[in-house]
Amino acid sequence: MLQVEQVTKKYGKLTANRDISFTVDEGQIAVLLGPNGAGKSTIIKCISGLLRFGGKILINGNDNKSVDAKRLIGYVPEIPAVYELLTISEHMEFIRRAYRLEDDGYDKYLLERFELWDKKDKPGKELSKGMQQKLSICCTLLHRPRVIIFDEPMVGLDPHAIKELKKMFVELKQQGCAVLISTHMIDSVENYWDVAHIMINGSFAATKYNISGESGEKSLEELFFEITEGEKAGAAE
Amino acid sequence: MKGNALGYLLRTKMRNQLLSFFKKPIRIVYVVIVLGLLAMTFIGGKSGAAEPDRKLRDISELTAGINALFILIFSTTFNSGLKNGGTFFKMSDVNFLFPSPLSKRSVLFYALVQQMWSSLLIGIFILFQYSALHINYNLSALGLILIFLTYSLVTFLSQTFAMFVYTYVSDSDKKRNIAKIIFYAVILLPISYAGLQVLQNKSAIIPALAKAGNGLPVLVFPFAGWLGGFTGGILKGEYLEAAVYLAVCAVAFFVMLTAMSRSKRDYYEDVIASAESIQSITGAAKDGVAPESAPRHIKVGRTGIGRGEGSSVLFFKHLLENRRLSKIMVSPMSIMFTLISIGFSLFIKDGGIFPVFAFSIYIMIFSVAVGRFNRELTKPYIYLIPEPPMKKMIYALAETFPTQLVESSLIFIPISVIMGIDFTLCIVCIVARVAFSAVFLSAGIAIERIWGGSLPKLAGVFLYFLVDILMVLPGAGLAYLVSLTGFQIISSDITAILCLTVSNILVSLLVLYLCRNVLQYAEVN
Repeated sequence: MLQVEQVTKKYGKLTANRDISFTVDEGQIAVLLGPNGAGKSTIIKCISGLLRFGGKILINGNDNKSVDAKRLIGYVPEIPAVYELLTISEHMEFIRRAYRLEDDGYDKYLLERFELWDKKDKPGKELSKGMQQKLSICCTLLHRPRVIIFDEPMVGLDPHAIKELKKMFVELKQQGCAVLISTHMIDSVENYWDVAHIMINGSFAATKYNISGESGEKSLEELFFEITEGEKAGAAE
Repeated sequence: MKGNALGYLLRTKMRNQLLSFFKKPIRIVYVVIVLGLLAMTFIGGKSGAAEPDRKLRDISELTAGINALFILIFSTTFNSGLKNGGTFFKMSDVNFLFPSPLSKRSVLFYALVQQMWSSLLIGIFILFQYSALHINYNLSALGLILIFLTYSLVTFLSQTFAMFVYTYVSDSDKKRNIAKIIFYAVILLPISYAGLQVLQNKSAIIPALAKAGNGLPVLVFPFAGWLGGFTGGILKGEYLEAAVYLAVCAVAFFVMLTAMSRSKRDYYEDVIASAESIQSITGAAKDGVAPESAPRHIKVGRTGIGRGEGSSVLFFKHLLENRRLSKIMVSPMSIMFTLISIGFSLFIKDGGIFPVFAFSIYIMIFSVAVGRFNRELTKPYIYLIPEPPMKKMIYALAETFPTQLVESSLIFIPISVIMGIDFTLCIVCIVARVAFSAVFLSAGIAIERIWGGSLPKLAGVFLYFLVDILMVLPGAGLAYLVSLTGFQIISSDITAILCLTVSNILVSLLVLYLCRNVLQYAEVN
C-alpha cells in the first residue's frame, strides 16, 4: 500500500534522510523509532507530500503527490495543525467539503470519541495543546484514509485520548489500513506493532518484525537502546 | 560559580548575538545592505535639500507628527499590555529565573536592561525617514537620531507602564475596566482637542493639526507627550522647556520603578501568560508568518463555512476567518495602514495623486505578505487536499482580491474627497491597487516555487522586495513609453496608472501560470 524507494532528502549540505526504502502493507502497523534528529519527521513529511525529495514514494501504486494518492493519505502532524479562527465543528466541515465527503455523521462520531463534541463551537485559538492534537487527529481520520501517518501522535494527549487512539490504531489495522507511526514512546506501541524501523542519522539502523511466539529475541526496547547507545559509544571512541 | 548571574546572562547573550553574525556571514550581508540603504537615504536627503526650488515646511508640523506618533505607539502598546500584561520576559526567563533564588527586584532590572536594547531595534525604521524629513523640515542627522532615541524610549516606557498598571489591576475585572476607562479618557483628550482645532479652522486643516499637535492637551499625555515635548523643545531650540519635560518624565519613571520594585505584589504570575503568548508569536515569526491578530477571546457569532466543495472551500474558509477577525473584512492592521494613508494625503494634498498612490501600494506590500495564502502554506491541509494544485492555488489566493478591493475603497474614497480627485481617477486607483496586490501575491508564489521553504526568512524578505520591483518594472516602462507618445486616456495620471494596471495584471497572470504547480513543489514551512 505504501512504498518508499530510495528516498533521500537534503537541506542544503545536511542530509536528513539517506536512501531510505521500506513498505507498509494493508493491515500493517509500522513504527519509526529513533533519537531526536534521526530524520523520522522528515521522512514522514516526504511521504505526506509536504517536502521535495529524491527517490520514489507510491501510495497504492500512485505517485504520492498525485490527486489519487492524496485521497488515500491521512497525516497527523507532530505540531497540531489548527486554524485559530475556526471552531472545532468548522474544522470538520472544512475537511468534509475539501474532500467532497457526504455528511454521514462520521464527524460527530469522531468528535464524541475524542471528547470534543461538547466543545464543537470553541475556536482553535482557545483550545489547549491536547485538544488541538485531538482535533488534528479527527480531521485526519474524517475522510477515512487508507494510508495513515502519525507523527508523535501521543504528545500532549490525556490518558483517555491515548487509550482511544490506541484502540483506533487496532481498528484501522483491522480495516486493512496501512498505518505508520513515528514515536519516542516505545511502550505505547509495544502491543500492536508489526514492523519497527530504528532510524539513526537519517538512515535505517535496524528493522524488526513482530513475530508472535518468537522466543529468545530481544524486545523492541532492548534493541532500540542497544543500537542507539552503541552508536553513541561508537561516536565517543 | 561566583559573581552576578544576571550580569553574566546579559553579557553572554550579547556576546553570543555578536558571534552569531560571524557564524552566519549572510547576516553581515544584511547589515551591509541596510547600511547601504541608509546611506542612500542620507545622500538622497542631502541632494534633495540642494534643489533650488526647495520649500521648507513649518517645523511645528514635524513636532506635532512626532507627538502623534509617540501617543499612537504608547497607546497601542499600553492597550495590548493592559489586556495581557505585556512583558519583557521570555519563556526562558520564566523557566530559569522565576524559580531561581534571585531577588524579584534583580530579575526586574535585568528584564528592563534587556528590553531597552530591544526597544532600540524597534525604532530603526525612523532612520530611513531622513530624506523626507531633511528636505521638508531641514532636520539634521543629529535631530533624526534624537527622534530615534526618544521613539525607542517611548516604546520602552509604554511597555514598562503597561506592566506596572497591569500588576495592580490584573486581580479584578472591575479594576481592569476602571483602568481602561481612565486610559480611554486620557486618549480622548488630545483627540478631541485636535478635532476641535480642525473644526474651528476648516480652511487650514494642516496648520490646525500642527497647532493641536503641539498643544498642552497633547504635551501632558503621560510619557509620550512628555518625551514629545522634550524632542520638540530640542528641535525648536527651546532647551529649558525640553529640560522640564525630560525631568517630568525621569521623575515619573523613577517613581514607577520604585513602586514596582518595592511592591509586595508578585508580578511573576502576571507575566507568565504573556510570555507564553510572545513565545508563540516568535515561533510563528520563525515560520515566516505573523500570528493572527485575533483577540484572546474570539467572538464566534454565526458558525459554519456554509459553501464550497473541493478547492473552493479554501476561499469560503478565508472569508469566514476574515469575518471573525473583523466585521468589515479588513484586519486591524489594514485599518491602521488605511488611516496612515489618509493622514499622508492630508500632508501632500497639493502634490498630486502619485505620492499617495505610491504610499498606499508600499504599505500593501506588508499586508499582502501576511495574507491568508501565506498563512495557509504553514498548515498541511492545502498540500493534502486531493484537488489539482492550480485550482487550490487560485481559490487560496482569491480572498485577497475582495479584501484588497474593500481596503482600497476605504483608502481612496476619503482621499478623493480630501484631495478633490474626480470619480474616474478614484475608481482607477482602486482597481490599480487591487492589480498591485496580484503582483505582490505572485511574487511570493514565484519565490515559493523556486526556493520552496529552504530560503532563510530574511533572505526571503529581501527577495520578495526584489521580485516585486522586477515585476512592476514592465508597467513602469510602459507608462513611460506611452507618456513619450503623448497618448492619453482622460488624463495623463489615469493613462499612467492604467498602463501600470494592465501590465501588472498580465505579468501576474504569467507568473501564476508558470508557477501553477507551486503546491506540488512547495515545502511546508
